[in-house]
Amino acid sequence: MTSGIDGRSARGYAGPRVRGRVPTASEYRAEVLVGTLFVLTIVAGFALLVVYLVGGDTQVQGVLLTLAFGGLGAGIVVWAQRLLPTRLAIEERHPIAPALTAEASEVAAATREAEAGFTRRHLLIGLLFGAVAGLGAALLMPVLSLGPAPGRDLFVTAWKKGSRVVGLDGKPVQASQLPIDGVLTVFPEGAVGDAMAQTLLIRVPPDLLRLPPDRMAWAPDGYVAYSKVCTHAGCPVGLYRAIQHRLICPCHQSTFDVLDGAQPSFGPAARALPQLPIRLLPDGTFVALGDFPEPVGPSFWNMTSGDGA
Amino acid sequence: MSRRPPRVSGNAPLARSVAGLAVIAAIGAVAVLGLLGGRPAAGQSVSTAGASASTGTPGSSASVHAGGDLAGGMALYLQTCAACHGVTGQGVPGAGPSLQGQGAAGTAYVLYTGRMPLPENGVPSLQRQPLLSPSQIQSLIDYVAQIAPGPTIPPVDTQGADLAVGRQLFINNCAACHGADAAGGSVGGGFVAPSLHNAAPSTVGEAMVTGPGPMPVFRFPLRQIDAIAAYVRYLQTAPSPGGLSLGGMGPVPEGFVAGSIGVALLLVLVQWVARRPRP
Amino acid sequence: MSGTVPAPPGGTDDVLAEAVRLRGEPVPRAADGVEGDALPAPGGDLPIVGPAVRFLDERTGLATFGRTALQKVFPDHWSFLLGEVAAFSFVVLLLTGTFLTMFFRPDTTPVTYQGPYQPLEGQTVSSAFDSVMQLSFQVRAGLLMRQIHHWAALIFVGAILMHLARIFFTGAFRRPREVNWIIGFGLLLIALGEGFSGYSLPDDLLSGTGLRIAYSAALSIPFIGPWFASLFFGGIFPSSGFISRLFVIHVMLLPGALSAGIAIHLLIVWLQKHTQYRTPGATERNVIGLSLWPGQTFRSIGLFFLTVAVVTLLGGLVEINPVWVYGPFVPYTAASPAQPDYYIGWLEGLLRMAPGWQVTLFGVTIPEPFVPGVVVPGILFGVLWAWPFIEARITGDHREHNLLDWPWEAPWRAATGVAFAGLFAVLMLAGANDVLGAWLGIPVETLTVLFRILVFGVPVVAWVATYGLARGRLQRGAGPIEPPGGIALRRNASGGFEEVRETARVEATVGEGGES
Repeated sequence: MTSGIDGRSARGYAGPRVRGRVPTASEYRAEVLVGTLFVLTIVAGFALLVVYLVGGDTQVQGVLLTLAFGGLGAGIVVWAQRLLPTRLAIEERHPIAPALTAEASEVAAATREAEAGFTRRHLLIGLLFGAVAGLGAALLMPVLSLGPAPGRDLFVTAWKKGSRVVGLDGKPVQASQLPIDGVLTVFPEGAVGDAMAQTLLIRVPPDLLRLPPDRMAWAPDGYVAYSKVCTHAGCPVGLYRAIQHRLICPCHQSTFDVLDGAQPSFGPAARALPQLPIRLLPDGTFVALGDFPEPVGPSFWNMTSGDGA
Repeated sequence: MSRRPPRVSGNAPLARSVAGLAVIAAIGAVAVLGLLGGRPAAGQSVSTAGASASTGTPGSSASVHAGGDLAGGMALYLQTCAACHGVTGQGVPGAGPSLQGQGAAGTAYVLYTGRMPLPENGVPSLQRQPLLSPSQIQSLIDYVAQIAPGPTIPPVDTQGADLAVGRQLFINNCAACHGADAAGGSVGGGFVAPSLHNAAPSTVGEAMVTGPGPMPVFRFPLRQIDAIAAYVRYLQTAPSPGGLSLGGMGPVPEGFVAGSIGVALLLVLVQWVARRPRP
Repeated sequence: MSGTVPAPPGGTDDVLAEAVRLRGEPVPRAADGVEGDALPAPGGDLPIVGPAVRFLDERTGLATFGRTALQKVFPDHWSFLLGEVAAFSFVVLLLTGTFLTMFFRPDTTPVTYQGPYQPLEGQTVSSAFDSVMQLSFQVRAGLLMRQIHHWAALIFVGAILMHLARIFFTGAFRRPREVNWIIGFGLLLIALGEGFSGYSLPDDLLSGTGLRIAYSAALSIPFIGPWFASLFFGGIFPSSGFISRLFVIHVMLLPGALSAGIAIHLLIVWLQKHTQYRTPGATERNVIGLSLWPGQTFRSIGLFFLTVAVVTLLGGLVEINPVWVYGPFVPYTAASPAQPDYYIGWLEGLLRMAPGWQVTLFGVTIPEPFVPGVVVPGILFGVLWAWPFIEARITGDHREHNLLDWPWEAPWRAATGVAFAGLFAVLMLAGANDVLGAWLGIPVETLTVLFRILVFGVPVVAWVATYGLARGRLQRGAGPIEPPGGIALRRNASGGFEEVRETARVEATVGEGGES
């Protein structure tokens, strides 16, 4: 940017803009540079206004903003570096806490008196702490209003005995909709989209299933239903690797074996996805035989012992 | 039905925002972004033999195209496919899986995406330039549909399809593996859901009804397949209003750019600002 | 602070004159003429500033402080500007954030989207998501502001981390600055909370997924988890009221805490004065550098604009968080890949690489996210937070330190710092295992197992390697000497400046004649 200036000798530059003397060539170059950068800001600023007024384009506006701010910032920095004093200065440090002054002694004496009147009254001090604790208990009042008691909500879902299995469109799912290796997100009728009740209906070759014997009846004709809420951190277990019959959670890659009762086979999840007992009706639709046998979703401390009532 | 255009191996999202790339290039980050942009588009896909045995798919039927060249198809099959998949498509242990249930859709999927035939034995089945000509492919499809009946090719038509329906279906059924931006992603077990940024609408339909490799089967009504294919097409061509697209891979490349460009640039600027030239 | 500076010699005029005299005093170098430009001779040449200062001083008496302040010395090493970059990013965040609040509706009421984005036309979305869509597509420059805000947030945390690394590796946290380490680290935590709450506000699919995980981590705390999660989220996830809560947290509570914390942080820096590197002339009893006015002020203002330039560059050119692609949050869908912003990535990595271990003892279940999601982060951050005290305990060094160590001068500390950095880097990569797996063509499971090994291996190797390098460097000799340029001024007891020309330590390499 300064190359064009070099042709002009500094002596040839006569504009005495610096009072009392002629600027050096280096200063002159710096001034030109700073001026150019500021002009860039001016031009970019007005161009930005025009671009904005004619409709605005995010990219053009971003570049113009960058030029406007960058020109100003660079200009100021060059100004500071080349046209302002850059000498080093030395500042003495002073002790942060100077030796005990007379004033400090007086303060100490004054507090000592008050302290004496305080520390001797042990009972009152005890009660004071009690009062603070009481106040703390009282202040829990608004905090507890922030949310409902967890209650049984973590233990149950909207699935009930006889709940019809419907798809996202609210229509009953037909068995013919699901070929082998097919997968569908289903809900109990009346609770479409419910976060806790979301369930995956998967069809696998029936002879491959290795469910516990008492649960084989829950998977009629190879149609098996598992909670879609990951038992690790609660994400919807949306990936189905059909070739290996594995469900994978996209959040942390917990992997569940669909053939094996959705037991975790890899990743951070420890619990199997709860299986929903379902029945295939003669008309080709499904109903639930009841709710999931255990809480769905991520574990919590009293999930096996508490009833949440 | 839209027949597929020749596969181009390029980076659509990079082309989307040439302007953005140009300026970024100016600050010397092209290499970094190029790496990011090179997401698993054309190169990677399912790493097993693409044909999975889907048995007994209901609702499938043999498809015979009128005027199909069955004799030519058979010759081509015996020459190109039979060594691994068997003369009758029964499969050859250790060489290639059975073609049972593939039908026209499964055959069209692997042939038009270049996943089959393999350029040489033992290489993984990946998305490639198709080796066979369209007419060869058509005759093979007709022949395999005869010997290994399965789903027919859904006559996908994205014209007039409902984009909003397509988006919803895509997010609920496809995005878990292929990503919200259809850029592809890992599905575990060594499998990768391929990017759909080069997928033709008919390929989307064929993949849905056959569930190639690790993919589940989605035997949806044709209107829904149309809608999904239309949305995939939309994602391929939609402008990215925010500027340079980071490949639809979410916050990981964003964080990478923030560090390697944003913070790095500021580290340089800070050193420049602190310079104290000798007066 | 004024207690250390004697009262001004007289009235306002005297102060003004004194200030001008002080700044203009080193006239001996009039040959280069710079002072003549920047500092007009006293006496009526300040037609605006003069009366303004007089007006203010007569009413506030702040001129004394002002004089002290203007002459305050700041070390001129670039690494002292990293904190400023963080503060300036915060300013950008406040400004763009204010703009965004004008349009954002913290409300999850379902509405029908009607706007130019075709694939969502007629879809039911939350009012919050709808407002983000309107902001992005219908408000002119709205998308630009949103993107600048998001990029500035990523850079804000990045600058904090750079600043923190400088403080750590140079031992700047040692007495008397432990307090400011505590505050500064607290600011980092608030910034992380601020980032996460902002990431979660648009109510898109990605942000909902992040909240879901946060809820599950809260739920996993033994004994109080269900209550805590319910109170914080206002019920079981997804509770309808949570976005409005998050909004208050994001735009009021945390920015307020950040602003107050930054103010206290800077006040303490001001009171304690900056540390400085061990350069010639630098002692435990002085500060060498540029005075606040004009050198430091101009540089800082310039750096502010340059910081804005960088975030606007990214904000305008590089797409970030395209919420329209993710679509509105629905609880039954998650897209892949699902990552948080990078500064939460290490937490994501901890959750991803943790083995599926869950124990139930006496009817009490310790859920699997509890250890990787709550305990380990607590320990890691607890150790870093308490680091000044831990180090003092180990080294037994409780003295005041105003001179910084070069990183290799404390091999043990440098090794620990690099080990921590390595640990967090591995965790962050583990949080991106699916993206890396797809990119590198390596199965996710293999990568995860690899990270499980690396998370122990990398910190150990990093520690040993850094320790060895630092020891080697230390034995080869002292650190680099950075010769100071220009003349040195010494601030004397009365607040004035005197030139230091001689001194064996301060090389007065004055370069006035360098350009003539």
